[in-house]
Amino acid sequence: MLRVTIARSIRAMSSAAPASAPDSDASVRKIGRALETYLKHSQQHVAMMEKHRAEFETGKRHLAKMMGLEVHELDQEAIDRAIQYLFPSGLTDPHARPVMRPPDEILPKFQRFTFDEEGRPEGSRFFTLSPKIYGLMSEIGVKTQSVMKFYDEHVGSRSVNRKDLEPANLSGSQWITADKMKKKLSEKFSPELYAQIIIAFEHLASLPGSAIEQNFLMEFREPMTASTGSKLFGPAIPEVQICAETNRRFAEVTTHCKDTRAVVKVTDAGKGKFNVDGLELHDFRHLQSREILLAPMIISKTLGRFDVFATTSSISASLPEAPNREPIQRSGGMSALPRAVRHGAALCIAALHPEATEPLRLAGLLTLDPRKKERSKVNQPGARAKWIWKRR
Amino acid sequence: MKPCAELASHVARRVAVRRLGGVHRHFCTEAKAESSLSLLPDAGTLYEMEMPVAKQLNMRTHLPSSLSKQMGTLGEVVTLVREPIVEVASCMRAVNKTFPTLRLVLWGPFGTGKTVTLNQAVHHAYNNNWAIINLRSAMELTRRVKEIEMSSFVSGRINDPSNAVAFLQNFKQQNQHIWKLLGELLTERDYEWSKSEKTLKDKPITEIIEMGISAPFLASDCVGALFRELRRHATADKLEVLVAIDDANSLWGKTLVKRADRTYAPPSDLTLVVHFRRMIQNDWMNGCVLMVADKKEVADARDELGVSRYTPLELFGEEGFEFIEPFLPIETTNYTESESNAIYNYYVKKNWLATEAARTEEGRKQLMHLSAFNPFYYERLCAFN
Amino acid sequence: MTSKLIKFAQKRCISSTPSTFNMYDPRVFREPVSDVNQLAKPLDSADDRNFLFVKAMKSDSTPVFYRDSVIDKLVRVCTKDGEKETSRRNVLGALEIIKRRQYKAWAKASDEEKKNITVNPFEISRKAIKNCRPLMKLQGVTRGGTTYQVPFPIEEPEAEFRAMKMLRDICRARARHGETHFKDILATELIAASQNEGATIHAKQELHKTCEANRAYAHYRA
Repeated sequence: MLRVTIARSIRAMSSAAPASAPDSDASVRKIGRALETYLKHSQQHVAMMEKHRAEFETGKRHLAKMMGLEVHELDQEAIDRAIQYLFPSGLTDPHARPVMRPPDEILPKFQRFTFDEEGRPEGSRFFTLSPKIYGLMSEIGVKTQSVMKFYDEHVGSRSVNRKDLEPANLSGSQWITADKMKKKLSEKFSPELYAQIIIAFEHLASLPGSAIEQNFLMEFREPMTASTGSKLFGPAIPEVQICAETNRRFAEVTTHCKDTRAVVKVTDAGKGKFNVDGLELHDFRHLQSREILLAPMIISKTLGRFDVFATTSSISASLPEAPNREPIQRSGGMSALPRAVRHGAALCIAALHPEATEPLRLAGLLTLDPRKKERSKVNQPGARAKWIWKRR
Repeated sequence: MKPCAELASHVARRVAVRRLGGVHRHFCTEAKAESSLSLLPDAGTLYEMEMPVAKQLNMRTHLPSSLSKQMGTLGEVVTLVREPIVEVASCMRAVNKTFPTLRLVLWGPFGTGKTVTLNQAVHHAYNNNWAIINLRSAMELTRRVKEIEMSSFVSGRINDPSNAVAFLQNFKQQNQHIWKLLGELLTERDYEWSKSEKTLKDKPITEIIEMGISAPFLASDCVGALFRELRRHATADKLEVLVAIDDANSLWGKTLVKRADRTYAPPSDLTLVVHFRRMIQNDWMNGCVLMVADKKEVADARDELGVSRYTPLELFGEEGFEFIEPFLPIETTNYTESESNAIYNYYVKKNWLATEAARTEEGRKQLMHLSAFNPFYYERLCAFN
Repeated sequence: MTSKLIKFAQKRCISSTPSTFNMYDPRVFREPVSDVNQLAKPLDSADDRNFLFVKAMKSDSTPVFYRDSVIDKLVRVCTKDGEKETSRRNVLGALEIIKRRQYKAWAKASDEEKKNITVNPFEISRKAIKNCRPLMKLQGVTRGGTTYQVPFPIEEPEAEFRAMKMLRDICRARARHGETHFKDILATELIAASQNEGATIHAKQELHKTCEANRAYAHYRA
């Protein structure tokens, strides 16, 4: 057991202020080995952080001098730009590129424990080795109990809102991943524990009346398309511009479908004319091609209002070719070319005629088609097809 | 894409002829009102060709297949009077015994009504009691030659009996309205077809036709003689002649006729082609030559995506273009909105649009745009709706 | 952000690694709305499509006024060697022939009879396909080394598919040597089937008979 004096010093250390080495070592008779290591690590960490912070400040001054700026002008954005300029990197993975950030942001955090007056770790979960995750689990348990109780008490009564007696609405979101959970709780835990947490969460969310815990649940959920921040897959809706000569509004966008890249320009107040690589609509002799090209206008009910001007090219033709391969000249056929133009035209129409945006999106015209031709495999006639097996 | 300089000169000439046509019409109405041409309805209106007439003019085979099917289903031939036929009619009005033959070339994108305009012109000529020389497709003379015979008249020429007989029969059928008049026209000289068969001087030229039909091996030469006589009589103001040749650029195209040494014969070796080319020359009076420049001669039928060019220079080639110059190009275009509405209203009136959705306002608009205002695609779309 | 992602993805695509999964991530993509009337209405608030991506519209499902699910399916069933455009031409050509025949009959008929004649080819084909739908299917089941043709009940979409397949096989067999065109036969068959006659209806009845005869094997259904 520890003495109170030591406990005090430890408490002082466990607070955020940097603590100097305890000078009351002499008064300590016996310290547990674990606590000793903990103290040592804590001191080392504080010292290291101090050193790195100083280095960062020095580096910032040097960088400012190199870039010809005042130090106070050099905010984080400017630092990023300078680093990108000074150390140009061809690495595709952003994590592999050089960075310069405050050490508090990028260096691993040191986990501190709190102790009580007696010097014992606070909370009995300390001894589970991952107190926070078990804390969360018991919290879920408590909430589950309270939700069940709430439902039993209020079912059939008119005193509460009808909506509170339903399961929580979690549509459009998903549980945060294990990595994010670890970051959120700043604690490491095993995948099994994560699975248990998710099971507990699912059970809670499925209960009738869990709507009262909606906010708690949403803390641990994230929107499914949060990574893009937009409901459109592919290029965004372009800005409307105004042609200086004709004074007509137009929008322009670049998109692609399969191997066809299309630059599409749609002009408002037109006659419904098409110009795709110099071809008019009647030069597309397949009915389906014309259907595809007119799809955005049919859905937005603007037949004959917009003029479409598009130029297309083959994406693979612009890539470095294998030495013995003929470059591909054509760009798209009777389906891919109109589809590329359709996507571009739909985006432009959404810009010029914003009322049509939602119908166009729901019809799937504002979505970039991510499908590609799958390469055929060696020793196989196609991408998936296999030669017919023959005994001999 | 277009030979600009040439077009400009043609446009200039076209304007001149229009003016000339106007003057001529004026002159006609004053001087010999009884022989002035019957007038076409105004552009943008529908006009009906009576069934017996259509039968006589063999419209079933001469119209494009989709329209001839339509003719069978609806039981009538109704076409829209559009800008090109009005232009052709005004040119036909300018035809006169003091002017050399007018040469008109109909050109335009696929499905815009070149052949239909040609057949309308044939009907117009019928209404005005002209002689009609109508070739369904010049491509048949060069590419669909079933049997060949070496000519005994000029060495190296290749006769094509089946096509010649077919043409003569067609000529006889289409010219029943002036058959009596043709019977009164006499031959200029003796024609010695073979050792036994001959046509003497001052016999009616219908005898030449009968001779050709009854003796296929003479038919090719009979066509030449017939053309020669018609040219002579037209120049002498006995009658007016309309020469209507569909796919005329095939007269300068490829052939599938093989000579003895297994090489393809040039079109100038085919007797019928030579006769038709001779008919196109403008060294005779009182006639009008209407030609269609069609892409099917140069385009690859199996190429699903390519778009071939359709200007007269591209299609006739250097040689053909020089031969037919000077001529008036008449461009056929896609429908305007009012024209497509006229057709739509006609279909609705005839109850041809069977689905409910096609008869709505939305259906009308979509039909118009999905067909890209192209007459061919418009008919195709309406066919199953 | 999105464009960056896409650029990044494009660079990756050069390597053309085998794609072993759907390019549309099933967690974030939902099917598009294909009906125009439905598009005009606002979406239900609980619908996933409010916040998820929508798949791109398919190339053969543009909502033009003559879009018809049965005809589209027939086109797909009749397609050979991936030549869908040819197949579409055939099926639409068959519709045209049906319409021409019906129109001729309609034009000849007296005013009273006219009410009974449907000219609409879509209606006739829908009715024909409906009449051709079998109730059961025969499927081979191997038990003890012998294969038995066991009757199985089928769902609506499959019944429709089997009706089209029977129709297509009959038409193809007749059009094999090129005396007649596929579309002519298809039109004849459709008109006949809409009146519960013709080879396809006959084939359906044959199938029903065989199913009835093989009723004893029904217990082999796994």
